[in-house]
Amino acid sequence: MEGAAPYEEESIYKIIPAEVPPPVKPPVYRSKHSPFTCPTASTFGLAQTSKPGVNNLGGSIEEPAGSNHHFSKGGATFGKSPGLSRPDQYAFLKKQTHAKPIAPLRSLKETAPEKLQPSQLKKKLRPPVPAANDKPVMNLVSDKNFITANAVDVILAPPRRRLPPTQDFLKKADYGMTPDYLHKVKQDIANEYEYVRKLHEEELESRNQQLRLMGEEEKEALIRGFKAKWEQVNREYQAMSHQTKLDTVGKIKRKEHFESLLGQIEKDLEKLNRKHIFVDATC
Amino acid sequence: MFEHTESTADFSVEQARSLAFPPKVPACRRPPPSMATEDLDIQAVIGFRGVVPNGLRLHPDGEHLVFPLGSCVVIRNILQRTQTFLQGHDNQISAITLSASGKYLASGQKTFMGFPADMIIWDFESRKATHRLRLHKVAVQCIAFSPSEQFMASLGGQDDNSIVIWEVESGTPICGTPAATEVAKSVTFFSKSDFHLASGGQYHVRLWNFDLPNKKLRPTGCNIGKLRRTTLSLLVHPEDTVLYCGTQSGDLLEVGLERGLFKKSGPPKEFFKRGITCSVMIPNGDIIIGTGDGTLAKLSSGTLRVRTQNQVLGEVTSISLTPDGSHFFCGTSKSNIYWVDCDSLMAELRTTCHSERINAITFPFGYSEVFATCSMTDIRVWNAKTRQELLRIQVPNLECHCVAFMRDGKSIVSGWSDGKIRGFLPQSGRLMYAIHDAHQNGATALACTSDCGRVVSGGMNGEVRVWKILRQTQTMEASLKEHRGRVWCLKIRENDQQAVSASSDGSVIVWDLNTFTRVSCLFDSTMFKALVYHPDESQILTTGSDRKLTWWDAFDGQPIRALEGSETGELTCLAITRSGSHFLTGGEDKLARLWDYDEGVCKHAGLGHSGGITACAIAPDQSFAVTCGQEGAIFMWKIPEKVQEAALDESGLH
Repeated sequence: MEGAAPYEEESIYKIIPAEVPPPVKPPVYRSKHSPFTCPTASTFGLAQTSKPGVNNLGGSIEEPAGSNHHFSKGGATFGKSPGLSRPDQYAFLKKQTHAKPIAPLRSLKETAPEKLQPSQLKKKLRPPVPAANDKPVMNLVSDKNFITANAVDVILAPPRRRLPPTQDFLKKADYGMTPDYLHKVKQDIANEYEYVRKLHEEELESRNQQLRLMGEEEKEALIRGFKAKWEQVNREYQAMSHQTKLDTVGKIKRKEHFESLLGQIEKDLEKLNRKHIFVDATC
Repeated sequence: MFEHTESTADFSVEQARSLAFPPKVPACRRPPPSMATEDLDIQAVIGFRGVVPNGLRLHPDGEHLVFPLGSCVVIRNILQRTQTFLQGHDNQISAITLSASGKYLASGQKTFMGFPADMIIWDFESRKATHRLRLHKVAVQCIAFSPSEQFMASLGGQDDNSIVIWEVESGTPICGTPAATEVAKSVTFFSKSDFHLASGGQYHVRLWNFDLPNKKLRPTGCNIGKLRRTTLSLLVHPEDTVLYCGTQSGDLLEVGLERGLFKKSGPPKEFFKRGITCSVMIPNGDIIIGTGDGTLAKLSSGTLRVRTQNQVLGEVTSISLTPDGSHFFCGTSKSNIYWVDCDSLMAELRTTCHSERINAITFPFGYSEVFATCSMTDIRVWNAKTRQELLRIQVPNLECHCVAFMRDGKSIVSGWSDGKIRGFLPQSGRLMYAIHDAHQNGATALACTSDCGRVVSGGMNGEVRVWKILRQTQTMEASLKEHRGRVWCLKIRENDQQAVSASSDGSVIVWDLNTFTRVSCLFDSTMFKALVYHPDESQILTTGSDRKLTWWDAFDGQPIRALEGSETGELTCLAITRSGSHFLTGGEDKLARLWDYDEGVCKHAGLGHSGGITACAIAPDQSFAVTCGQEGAIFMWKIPEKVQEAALDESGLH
C-alpha cells in the first residue's frame, strides 16, 4: 500500500488480507533408474581397475547382470568440494597460546612454594649477632704496667686549666635586707601623699568657710514662692487641658514646656524638704 | 419522570405492568441475584495495565501469562490463545506475584484513603481465590512468596508502609512491622532461605531476619555510605551472596548480603535515565534491567558494564523470564508486551492495547471482522477475530473524541481535541484530509451519511455542522448553532434526510439535512450522553447523566417512557441490535447491560470493567458486543444465542 498505490484502492473491508492457502508441494522427484549406473562410455574411476578404459559402452540402463565386479573405485571423487580447502577462519593465533598464563600468587603459594624462594641472597653489612652457644675466648692477659703508664701519661699531659673562684652571694653583708634605694623611694611616695592630702584639706576648709546654712524663714519663703509659681503654671496648664487634639507644633511644644516646668518645680520642692540646706555663698 | 403515556400504543398491558414494577437494577459492583439478569460471557479482552510494577508475570510452566487489567487478573494461555479472568478485587490492582512453582498467585489492590486494601491468594490450578487478606491500608505495594512457598511477605503502600509475613496455607498473618521510617518500595525473600528478606525504598535498603518461633522481624540496615538512593527494584543473587538494588537515580547498587555492606555500583560510565525499574538475572549471571525511559540493557555480572542495550516504547515496568532463561516478556507502561531475546535484546511486539481511556468505538458498516477505537493520542483498528492491532494512527498530544468509518470503507473520519476533523486512509493510515477549525475547543461527535458525501459533526461548544466531503475539498454546508453544551452523540437516518444530536444542555434536536433547520426538539433535565434510533426509526432511545433510559417518539418528540437505567452511575453509551429487539448500555457503574427493548428489562449484565464504560458497540453480525472503559480495556462480550436470534430476526421491521 505504500507510495504509488492510489488511495481509492484502500478500503477497510480489505484490511484483513485474504488467507492464501499454502501452495501444495509436488512430491520429491525420484528417478526410476539406478543411481549407480554409469553414463554411456564413462571413463570415470577406471584407473587401476581390471576394466578397460571405457565403461558401459552399450549405454545400458541396468547394471550389467552376471558380473559382481564393481567397475568404479569406492573412493573416486572429484576432490574436495569448493571452499572446503579454505583455512578455518577461527583458527587464528590467539593470545597466550605460546606463553601460558601466569598463575596468581595465592595458588602459587599453595602449589609450588619453592618457586617463591630467592635465587640469590643479599650480602649482609653487619656481623651476625652471637649465637646462644657461642663462648668468649678466655685468659687473654696483657703484660702492660698500667701504673707506670698512667704516671707517665699524667706527667706528660699539659696542665689543666683552672676555673676562677666563684663569688658566694649568701655571704654578702646586706644579704636578706631591704636595699637602701627602696627605702628612699618609699619615703618619696609617702611625702607626696602627705602633700596631696594637705592640699585637699586646705581646699575643703576654704570651701566650708564659704557655705552657710539656710535659715528657716528663708526656706519657708522659698517654698511659698515655689508653690505660688506651681499654682500659676498649673493653672495655665489646666487651661489647655481641653485641647485633646494637639495638631500643631506650637501646641505640642507649649504642653511639653508646662510639663517640664511643673516637673522641675516639684523636684525643687523635694529638695527644700531636707533638714539642713547649705547655700553656696560665692554664687 | 414519565410513568407511562398511552399516546403511542406500542406497548402491551404486560409491559405497562412491568413499568409499574421497574426492573431491579444492579447495585454498585455486582449484579444482584435477580431472576431476570444473567451474566454476559466475556469472549475476549484486549487490555493490559502496564503501569503496575512487575505486573506481567510468566507462569513457570511457560504457557501462561498473568497480568492485571483494572480490577481483574487475566491469565492468558499463550499457546492456545485463551484467557481466564480472576475477579475478586473491587479496585485497581497494584501488585501481582506468582510463587516459585506457580502453584499460588497473589494479587493486591488499591482502595480509597482510610480503607483496608485487599490481597487475594489464588490457587492457580483451580483459578479460585483461597484467601482474602486484609491488613494493609489504602494500597498494597509489593508481594513476594518465600522460596518454599510456605510464607508470603507483603508491603503496604505509602500510607501503610509496613511489611507483613503471612502463612500461605492458612492465610493467617504471622508478624508485621513498619518497613522503615522512609517510604519502602519493594520487598523480596532471599533465593534460598525462607527466613531472610530484603526490602528497599527511599534512602534505605534493609535486610530482615524472620524469627518464626518468636514471631518477630528483625531489620539490619544496609550501609551504602554517602549515597542517597531510592530503590525501585530488588534482585537477590540465586546463591544469596549479593543483592542488586535498581535505583531511581539510574544506577544498580551491589550490596553484600552477609554483612549488608555496599560493594559497588554500576554501570560505571553513565546512569540510566529515569531509574532502573525492574531487573532479572539470566542463567549466565548477567543482569537484564529495564529503565524508566524504555531502555532494556544487559549488564555483565562482575563489572556491571553495559553489554547490550535496546529501546522499547514506554517505561519498562516488568520483565519475566522464560523457564530456560533464553527469552523474556517485557511489559511497559504504554501497555505493550514485548518478546525479547536475552542474547541480542531484540524486542518483538507481541501485544498492545490502549493505555488511557477510550473515547469511542465503531464498526465498519456491515463488517464485523474489524473495529476501530480512539483514545488520547491514537486511533487503532483491531482484528476482531485474532484481537490483534491492524493499524495505529497516532497524532501526538491530541485527544481523539470520536471516530467513524465511511460507509464505503474508504476512509476513517475522526474528531480531535484541537477542533479538526481528520480523514485517514483505512489501510495505510495516512492522512487524507484535515478540516481545520471545524469546531472550537474540539470536535466531539461525528456521523457519516450513507452516500458517503457528507459528514455531520458536533463540537464542544454545541454547534452542529454539515460538511460536504469531496476528493480534494471539504466544505461546510451548514452550521447549526442551537445547542448550548457539548454535543455528545450524533445519528443520521438511513435515508440521510435527518440527523439527530444529543447535547449536554439537556436537549436532543432533530435536524433536517436538506433545509438545515430544526425539525423537533426533545427536552429533559439531564445531560444527554447517548442516543440511538430504533432500526425502524420510529423511536429514539436516549440516556444521560440522570441515569434514565428514555424512549421518545421520533415523529412528534414526545417521551414514551422513562426507566431507571442504573442506580449508581450515569449511563454514557448505547448500542442497539439490528432488529431493535435488544440494546446495550454502559456507564459509570462499570456494568455492560443488555436490555430487552420492548420490555425495558435488563436481561444480561456483564461485569469486568474496572473503570466506567465510555463506549459500546454491537457487531454488525450480532454475534458479539464490544465495550471500552476509562481504564483503556476493550471487552468483547458474547451475545447470548437467544438474543442473537432475536437480533437477526428483522421480520418485525417494515
